[in-house]
Amino acid sequence: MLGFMLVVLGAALAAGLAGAGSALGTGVAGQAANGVVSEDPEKFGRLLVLQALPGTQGIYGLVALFMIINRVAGWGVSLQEIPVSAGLEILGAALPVAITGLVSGLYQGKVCAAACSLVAKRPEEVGKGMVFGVVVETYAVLGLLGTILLLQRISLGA
Amino acid sequence: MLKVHLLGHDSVRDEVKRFLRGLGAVEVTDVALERSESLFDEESVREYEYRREQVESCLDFLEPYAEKRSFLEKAGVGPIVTTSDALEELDRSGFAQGIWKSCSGLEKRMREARDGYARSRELVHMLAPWAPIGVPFGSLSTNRFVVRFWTIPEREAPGTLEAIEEAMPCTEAVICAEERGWAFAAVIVAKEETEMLEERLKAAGGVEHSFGDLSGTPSEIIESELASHRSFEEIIKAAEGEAKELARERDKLLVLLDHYTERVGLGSIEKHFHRTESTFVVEGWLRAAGRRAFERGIRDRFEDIELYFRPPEEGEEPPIDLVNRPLVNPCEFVTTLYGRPVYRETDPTPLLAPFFILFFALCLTDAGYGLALSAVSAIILIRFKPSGGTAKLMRLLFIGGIATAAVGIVTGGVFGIETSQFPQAVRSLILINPLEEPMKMLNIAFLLGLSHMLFGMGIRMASNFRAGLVADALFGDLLWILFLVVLAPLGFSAILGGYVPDHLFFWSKRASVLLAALIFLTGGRGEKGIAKRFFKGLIGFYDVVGYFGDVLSYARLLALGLATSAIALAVNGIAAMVKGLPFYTGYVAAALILVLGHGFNMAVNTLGAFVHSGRLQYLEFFSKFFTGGGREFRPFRNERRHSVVKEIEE
Repeated sequence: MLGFMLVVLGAALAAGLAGAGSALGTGVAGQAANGVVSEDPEKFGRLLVLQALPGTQGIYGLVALFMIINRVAGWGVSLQEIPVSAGLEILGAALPVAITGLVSGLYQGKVCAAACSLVAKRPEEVGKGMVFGVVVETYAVLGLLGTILLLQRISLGA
Repeated sequence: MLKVHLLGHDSVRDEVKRFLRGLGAVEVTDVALERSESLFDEESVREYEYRREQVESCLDFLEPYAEKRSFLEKAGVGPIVTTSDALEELDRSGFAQGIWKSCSGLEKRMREARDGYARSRELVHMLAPWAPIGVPFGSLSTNRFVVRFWTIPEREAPGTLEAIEEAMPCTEAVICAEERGWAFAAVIVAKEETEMLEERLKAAGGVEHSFGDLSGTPSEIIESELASHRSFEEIIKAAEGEAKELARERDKLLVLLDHYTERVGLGSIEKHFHRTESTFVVEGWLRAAGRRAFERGIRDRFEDIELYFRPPEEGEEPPIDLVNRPLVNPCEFVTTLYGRPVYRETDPTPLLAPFFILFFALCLTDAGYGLALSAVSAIILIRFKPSGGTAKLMRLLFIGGIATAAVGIVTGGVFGIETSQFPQAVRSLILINPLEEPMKMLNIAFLLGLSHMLFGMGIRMASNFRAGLVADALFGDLLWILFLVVLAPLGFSAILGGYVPDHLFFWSKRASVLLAALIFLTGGRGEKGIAKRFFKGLIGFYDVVGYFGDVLSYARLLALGLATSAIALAVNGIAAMVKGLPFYTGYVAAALILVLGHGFNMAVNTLGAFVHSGRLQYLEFFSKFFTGGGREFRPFRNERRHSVVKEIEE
């Protein structure tokens, strides 16, 4: 059973930490957005999109969770028979997306909060603000990529 | 867009202005020179601005006192109809000034009464603990003694006061009240010993209070203040009643507001005209499609007006007005949220429309929610007849809802009900159930994403070709499109572990090596020197990381769709559990959970679907071909919001 427990822990960390990153990031961006809207409600739509940008990490975490579940299901063994080694490997494979999701989510949120200030002064440059935010997201993508690659390499025999 | 110049004699200036305003098709640009500025009638514009401000402040003040109409009533009422004669009459009679004087007076009365009331209440609150004192404030000192009022921390009070009374026998302290941790003491002390008293009491943490110019005993004062409260309340109520009466004239005020706004608009637009002693020139932007109507309108009404049209020159940035077919039009909401295209760019709206709607549907993925969304937006459109941005948004949601319904049927989601409950006819339509086959759905999402991106690159290629930048189009765009196409199967098998037939894999590998070589060789085009070309060709490959990240971003289509389905299932599950409660409360509770749960799910996921589908357009799609930065076209037009002027036919 320990093997399966480790698998569950891995999936939980992937979705949980990455989701936490998104929550922190969208939270910070949302505070800035509220400040701008208090002076100029017309900018609401653009600011909403800026606030949503750090939400990607949570989605990546969830995708990683699905992939973990899918991989384990693909082995075709009952939950009790999952060896501890495989469980540990899954746990390790979940770490890239979990850690990068958490940290990049928070920092992307800070960049998006600054983008809200940008939009307050120059609403037509919202695109540039978005691009700055997305650069931070690259590392979450790399984290997801790492998780996906590692998951592919894990099999029961190892 | 065309630039139009209009030259006319001063005598028709006013009529031309009204014609322009009525037509509402020309954005007036500034051609005033210094001389014309001196001819501008600043005074009358200011006068109308002042009157408008008066009306606005009256409306603001009277707003809380106006009759509350229910939301539905407000929606059914149309604009107020008036005539220009009635308007002139209202204006001349000084109606606005009269109401403004009354409102100012009322506001002052109310404010003074409220302030007085507050001060009185505070005084009562402050005096309350001292009520037991039966000596009026005026007679608190004699030749040799004075009364002092101190609050002392409750714990210290008895001890301190006893000590004082022992040490200074002529002193007597009375504790009037003990509240909130303080003892309220009145102390009779000999005049020459007051300093000693102060020292001791301060040392014990006491604070002195003085009631300077009050007269009468505390309880007398309290009684009279309480009596005054009623008169304050009456004053306020009377003023509010008068305000309610005035608020009935709200319609007249709204009509005047429109009237003054129009006058200000008509007046201030002249700031942009070029004027001489006897002529005037107007310059502005006009849509090319509106030229004939404009010319005809001028020729019909005026003789001797000179018109001149020209297309925008190099370096001029005309304002942007978007025009799209009725089905595509609502997606302008998405485009304008980001910005408008520059004059010579393509309008991305028809290009993003199908993708946006499809992605929206995939994120919301529930036929029930889709139909509900369409129904709600249709009701809002028909009943409340919104205008401008809100109308576009409602139409967008309506189309999105229909698309969601279609996608929902195909993925087997209707309010989260288990597919096994459906009749066979509906079940046969289901192509894929995301909950059962998430990885397959994920691959579909990636495929859609890749197509979206390639389409964007294709648009860039097309505009490069059109602009004559053939080398950029071929080597910058076409090569990359092909490269990504052949990389796709490789990535699919190596990274996602998907199945790719051997010969496809083989040829993809070959083709990607060939294309990579070509990209490397042509990447440095335009640079001088082998080293620079080598370097630029090499770092071009860094873009692959960017493209890969972009494709991964589309995974959100799966995640958001699943989230909707999962929450819908959960809501149904909870409702089913609750159904078992006795005496029909179970059914009531279950119904409540279903309505609130699905309602909440629908609202949250509609917002998410909109924002994330939009974000995919802005970041993954626009970045391939669109810069934006265009300015909105704002023609000089009628801006009446509350009223409509009809001329009485004589």
